[in-house]
Order: sequence, then structure tokens, then C-alpha cells
Amino acid sequence: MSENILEIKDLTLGVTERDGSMAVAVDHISFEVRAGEILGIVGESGCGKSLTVMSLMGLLREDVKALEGQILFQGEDLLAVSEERRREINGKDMSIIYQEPMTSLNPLMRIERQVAEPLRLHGSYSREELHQKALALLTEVGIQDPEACLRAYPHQLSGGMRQRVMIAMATICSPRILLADEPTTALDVTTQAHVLDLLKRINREYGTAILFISHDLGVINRICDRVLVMYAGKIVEAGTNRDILDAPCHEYTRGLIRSIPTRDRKGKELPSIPGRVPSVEDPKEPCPFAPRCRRAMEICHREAPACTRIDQDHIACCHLC
Amino acid sequence: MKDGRKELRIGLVLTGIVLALTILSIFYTPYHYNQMDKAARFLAPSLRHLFGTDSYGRDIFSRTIYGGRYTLLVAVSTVASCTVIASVLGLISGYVGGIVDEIIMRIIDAISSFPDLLIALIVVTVLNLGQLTIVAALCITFVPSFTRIVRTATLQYKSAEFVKNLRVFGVSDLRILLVHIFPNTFPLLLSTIVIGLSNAILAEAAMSYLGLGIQPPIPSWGRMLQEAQTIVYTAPWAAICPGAMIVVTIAGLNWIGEGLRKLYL
Amino acid sequence: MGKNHASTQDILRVEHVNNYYTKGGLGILKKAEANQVLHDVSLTIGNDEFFGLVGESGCGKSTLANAILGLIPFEGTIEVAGHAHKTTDRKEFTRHIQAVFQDPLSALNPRRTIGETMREPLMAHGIGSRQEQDRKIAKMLETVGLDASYADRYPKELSGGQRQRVCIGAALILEPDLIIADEAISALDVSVGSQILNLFNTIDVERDFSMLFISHNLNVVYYLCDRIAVMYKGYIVEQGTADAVYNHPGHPYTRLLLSAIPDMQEENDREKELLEKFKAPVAGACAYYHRCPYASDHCHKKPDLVNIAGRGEPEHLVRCWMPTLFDPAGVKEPGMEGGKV
Repeated sequence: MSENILEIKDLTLGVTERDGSMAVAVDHISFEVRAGEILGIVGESGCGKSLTVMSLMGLLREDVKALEGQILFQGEDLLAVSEERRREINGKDMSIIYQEPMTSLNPLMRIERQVAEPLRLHGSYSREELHQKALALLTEVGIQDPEACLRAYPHQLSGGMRQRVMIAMATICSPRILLADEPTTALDVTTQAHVLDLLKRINREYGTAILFISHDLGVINRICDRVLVMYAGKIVEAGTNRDILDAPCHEYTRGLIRSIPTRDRKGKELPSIPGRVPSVEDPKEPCPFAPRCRRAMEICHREAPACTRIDQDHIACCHLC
Repeated sequence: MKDGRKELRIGLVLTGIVLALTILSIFYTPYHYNQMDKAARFLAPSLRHLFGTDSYGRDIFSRTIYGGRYTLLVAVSTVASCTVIASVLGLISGYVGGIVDEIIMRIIDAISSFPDLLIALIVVTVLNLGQLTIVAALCITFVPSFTRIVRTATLQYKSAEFVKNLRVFGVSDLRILLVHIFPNTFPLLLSTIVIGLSNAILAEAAMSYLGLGIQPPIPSWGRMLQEAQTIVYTAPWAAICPGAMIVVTIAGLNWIGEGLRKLYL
Repeated sequence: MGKNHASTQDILRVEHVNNYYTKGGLGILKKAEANQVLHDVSLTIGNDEFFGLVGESGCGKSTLANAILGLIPFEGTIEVAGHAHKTTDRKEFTRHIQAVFQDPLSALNPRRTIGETMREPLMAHGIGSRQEQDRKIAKMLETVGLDASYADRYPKELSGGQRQRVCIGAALILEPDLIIADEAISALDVSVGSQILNLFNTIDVERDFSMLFISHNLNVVYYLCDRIAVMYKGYIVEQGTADAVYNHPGHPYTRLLLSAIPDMQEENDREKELLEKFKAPVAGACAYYHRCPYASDHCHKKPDLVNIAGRGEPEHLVRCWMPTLFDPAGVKEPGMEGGKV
């Protein structure tokens, strides 16, 4: 657990506005993904978590630019590598699954060709070998009738099956790290549980590190080893599951946990966070959460909080921690 | 880039030039469009005759800018009437659906399965020649494509959540259709209208070229092309000048259409 | 909250509703086949009651909502505040029932301001002069926690939570007896969703209305609702008070849903096994047969809804041959007879 697969240093991403100016969407974030771990990023929409993952894959939209920082993949800065090298890494050492598998599968192509595509690109196999590999992999990801699934078109599969196919495609080259962008959000709770189990098994059996993005703290708790909490383009708190869920220090993390309806909150008002998530264009505050924070002090509007280490892995960026 | 402003600007400049010349012709032309001059036949473009003269010694520049109003008038009235008819048909067909949709769409299919020129020929033969007839003939050939576009947009918004919401509010179908769905089809309709205008100019030119359109001595661009075909070797400018006007107008309109499409779709 | 569901008048009565979905039929090679989406669905919602409907996607919960709203045809009886669908015209009907949908952006016409959209229901029913309508809209915007100035804005200028507030306001402006909330907070962020849940509770105190709250999230439904029904493949498989269904589930499917919810508080529940066992389906069997870990040969017949509540307790219906097998506090001994009540 000592080696870092991915090290992100001071990554800053800017979005081009309509008037041509740059708005900072991800603001100097640094973190590392350790070998074999599952790291979660939790945050609400617009906090920059998806942009961060896309920048790791080199798949940023045209209007988004990496302004600063480094993405070190086993010592190699991914922001500086050539297009060619990038294509070598993508799919082979690093792959990604998305929220809606339907949009990432070609609707007019049978599953078989799509699943085997990464292998065809990154190695030389015969037709039969490809077929056998694809078959084995679909069985591996828990598809009941893999032969039928290989012959099917994407629209003939259920959402859960499609996500399993996506996972099969993403792991066919045994990548070092798998990025998962809200992969279970569109699924039913039971299917979600199966997919989470599957990801966990892949992690345990092959040592594939997973960077898992979600807005659901429950899901994060079920699958992750460590969690980063993002708010308005910044990492506001980081730590192990238990650090974050049992002893959160940042007021945003606390508010997020408190506002989830659970068994013992029935009949009581949910202590929700007032106001709304700031958008990229909104003026920047020294502490992005200060306007909504119920414990905000005078200093919070004046000075950006430093990040304090509370425990071995537990870091929070708040004046009160 | 997603932005369509550049296309829009080029398009507006080109069509602006054509429009300005056409408007100018209402107040001033260097010569009368039909003023013949035996001594000045087949003159090449010069300062006295900017675009040269034709076989009757008529000034082509004057004729071209004068003829623009007929060509443009036919195009605009064709597209306008076609838009009205197609909007009604498309909205009804898309929103009501079922048997009504079937009937309207099959009629539309029937019309579009005939060659456009054939339909125009029939209409012109049945009715008398004249500007109104050309408009009617062109309108019929344009209605199918316009209707399909309005119908598609209507279908798209009919299943939109906000229409479902309005029905739950108790809003009448007519109001949903006219106040809520129709305005949402404008962006799509707008670029169709612009492309339709350029198609109408071409179609008018084609019909006049065949002698079915604007009648002499009025000089529409298509008419001028037809008259120029016999003298194309002796006085090529007689064909090139109205042809260039058509090209500029159509290019301009297409750029506007493309720009609008990029901006709004 | 804490309301007694045994109120005098039922706001919604759904009786033996069936709905079929025909697919194919237009093709030459395929024959039209009718899939039954709703199977004999019956439920009632009392005055001022919040009723939760839970199930996976495709279980028929949205179909039921659309049937109640009169947007799709169905078989059976649906009455809202005493008005039956088949005898009341749509406009009159809409005075009693309104809806809030999942995606607040697509639920608002992008080309009309918030005020214009909120005026639509008032205009459709000819309520008030223009000034009175303006006043009503301004007041309603304040009720849902927005400023009256929002009336002049367009949907795209608002955040997701604000749009959903507008939708709730537009639904409430006719003062309907029943509001159907179809996945109304599913598309929202956690912190925004909880604001909306709080809003529902606040408005409930101020006004008299019932709600059919449809969601796939049992936690949210339990938090907000007085009674809950669980749907599976078009059948209501369990129905009862929120406490009974959530804390003493009788149907194995409800247990599965509960076990599948990822929990934050439990210390490392990562190895938790799902209460699910797939097997080959049997024709005519209980709809849940192919997933049920407890199914036996007995389940090859379709079970009826049976009441497993003790005497004097509110009704707790379960569609299972062995409904009390799992609940130690169950009234009956586990057995094959199922016991009709």
C-alpha cells in the first residue's frame, strides 16, 4: 500500500466562459491513489469531481483546460505526454466507466466486438482467442448467459447488464487503475449492490486501484478505503471512511452527512445545508463554503483556511479543525 | 467551434448587398430595364454599362437589380405561404397523431413522390401563367419538407415533460399546441425557412428558364438566364451577371441558415 | 407526520387497476404482444396523508402515477376526492390532483418565465383577475422558499433545487387535494433534496393536502411518508404503515430492498450478502419466485395479499405465501398455509 499509482499535484482546471475568460473549476487539488486501494471522491454536482476524472483520462471538453499542476502516473506526467503515449495508456493501464453505459456503447455493434476492442488495440490475438477472452470476462463479471450476451446489441440488455459489460471492457487489459464516474447512480439499489460487489472483487483479486466518484456517501462507505470530499473545485476534507463518516471535521462534510434521511431521522426536520452549491462563474470566496457555513467566523471570509492533518490520513481544510 | 456567429455575419453581408441593390432599383436604375438601344448591342462591361448589354442593347446591370425584386418577391411569398400551411399541417399531424397523422403524412408522401418540376408544370398548366401561379406551384413542392420538420419538432415537444405538466395543470390542448409547443419549433423552423428561401430562388430561376415563370418583358434572374442562353458565346456577361446574383444570394442565405443552426440547435 | 391514516374521507381510491402495454404489432414479422404493467393494483390515500410507493425501475410505479393523472388508459376504478376518471372531464379533474416530476428542467417550458408557467393552471381554470393571479404567484413563490422576483426569470437561470421549488409551487397553486411526486428529489443533490423534503413537511403543516410520493429510495420514503406500498413487476407486494413495512417487512423483496441500501452508519457492512437467489422462472408462479431465496414448490401458485397485522393494529398487507417467516415479532407461526384474512 505504499506505492502511489497516481499522484495529482496542484491540478487546476479552467473552463472557458461565453465571454472568453477563464473560470477556475478545479482549484489546486493534490491527492494520490495508492496501489490496490479504492479511493472515493464525494461531492455534489458542479464540485469538479467529474472534470477531475476526465482530466486524468485526458478526455477534457474543448472548453476546459488544465492550467497548472501535474498528473503523475507511475512517475510520468500525463499532462505532458504525447497523444500517442496517451492512447497507449488509455484502455490498457488506465480505463474508465461512466454513469450511463448506454451512451458509451455503440448501439449498432454487437457486444462481442465492443468488448474485445481494447484487446485488439493493445495486443495481437486471433479471432478465437478474442472470443474466448471476451467470454471468460463476461462470465467473470457475473453475466448469466455470456454467449447470448456477446451476440446481443446494447439496447437488448438491462442497465445492470450494460454496466457489467462496460466493466468487462474496462478491465479486459487488466489496467493498473480504473476510474469510475458515478457508475451506479442510474441503477436500482439491488443492481447497484451487485455492481459494487463486482468492483470490489476486481479490486481484491487483481489489485486494480479504483478511483470511485459518487454523490452518495452510503455507496462510498460500501466500497471505498479512503474518501476525498470536494466542494466548489477544492478538496475540503480527506480521510479513511471512518474518519469522514464517524468523525467529520469540515462543516460541509458534516452538513452532507446530517442532511441524508436515515432511519432515526423520521419525523424530525432534516438539518439541511442552506443555500446552493456555487457555480463556476460565482465570485470566489477564500473558503468556498463560508457563505453557507453555519459556523463561519469573520476570518473565514477573509483568509483561505490551511489544511490540517488531524489523523494519519485525515486532513481537513477549515479554520475550525 | 460551436459558435455560428462568423457564418451568420458573412451571410448577412452577402444578402445585405443583394437587398440593398434591389431596394436601390426601386428609386434608381442607370437605365430603364426595358430601354433598348440598337447601337449598344452586345457591349462588354464598362463604366457606362457596368454589366454590359444584351442582344437588344438593354443594360444588364439595370435589369439585374430590377429583376431582383421579382425573384425575391416570389421566393419570400412562396416560403411565407408554405410556412403557414406546413405549420398548421405539421402541428396537427404531430400533436393529434393516430389516423389524422396517417392521412396528412400519406398525402405529403404522395406529393413528394412526384418530381417537383412535374408538379409545377401541372399547376402552371391548370392555372394561368402569372406570379401567383408560380408561388402556388412552388409552395406545393415545398410543403412536404417543411411539414415533416414541424411535425418532428412537435413530436419531440409533445413528449416533453413540460407538456405533460401543462396537461396536468388542466391547460387546453389548443393552448398547449399554439402557445407552448409552436414557439419551441421556431429555431428549427427558422433555419429551414432560410434554406427554403434559397431553394425557392433556384426553383424560380429554373421555372423561368423553362419559360414557365415570370413572363417577359419583366426581367427576373431566371428569365434573364434563359434569354442569355442563345448569346452566351457572344455576350457571356449576359448570363454570368444574373447567375452571379443568384449565387451570392443563395450563398448568403445558406450561411445565415448554417449560422442560425449552429447558434440555436 | 404522525398523522392518523384512518381519516374520514379517502382522497385517492385506486381499485383493481390493470394496465397493458402493447409492443410490436406494426411490424410484419412480429405480432403485437400485450404486457401487463399493472396487476390488480388497489390502494387508498386518506385526507392529509403522505403515501409512499417504492420499487425498482420498470416496476410500474410511474405507470400507476400516469394512470392516476389520467394521462394513459387503464382498466379499473380511480377516484380522486370522489371524482372518478371516467365520469369527470380532464379539466375539472386537474383541480383536485397535481404532480411534480423528476427532472425540473424539462418540466418547465424553456421559453416562458417562471411567472408565466405558474399562471397557466390559474388561467386554465379561470381563477382570479391578472392582478390576483400575480399576487397568488408571488405568495406561492414565497411559500416554496423563493423570492417573488423569480417570477420574471427563465428556468435556465435557476438551479436544480430552485426549479423543483417552482414545480412544487405550480402544483400547489390550484390547492389540489392530492399531489403526485414522481421521483421528485431523485435528480437533485443530497443537500438540495433534503431541503425539498423539509419543504414538503413545512407546507404540509400549513396546508391540507395528501401526497403520493414515488421513489426508488426506501429511506426517503420512510422518512417522509405515513404509509408505504412496495411494488414489484406491477404487483403491490407489501403495503402498510411506514413503521411496519420498514421495520418489520413481511415480503422477501422488501427485505432485499432494505438490505441493498448502502448505509453510512454501519461499521463496514461491505461483506453483507444480498438476500437474493436467482433461479429459473416457473410459469404462473409468484412474480418474485425467480429471485426469492425462500421460494419453494408452494410458490408455483400466485399468492394473494394477506393481512399480517395483529388485531387492532393498522392493516399490513403482504403478497407472499409465508409472510411472517422473517419477522420474529410476526403474529403467526411461519407456515405454508399463508392464512387469508
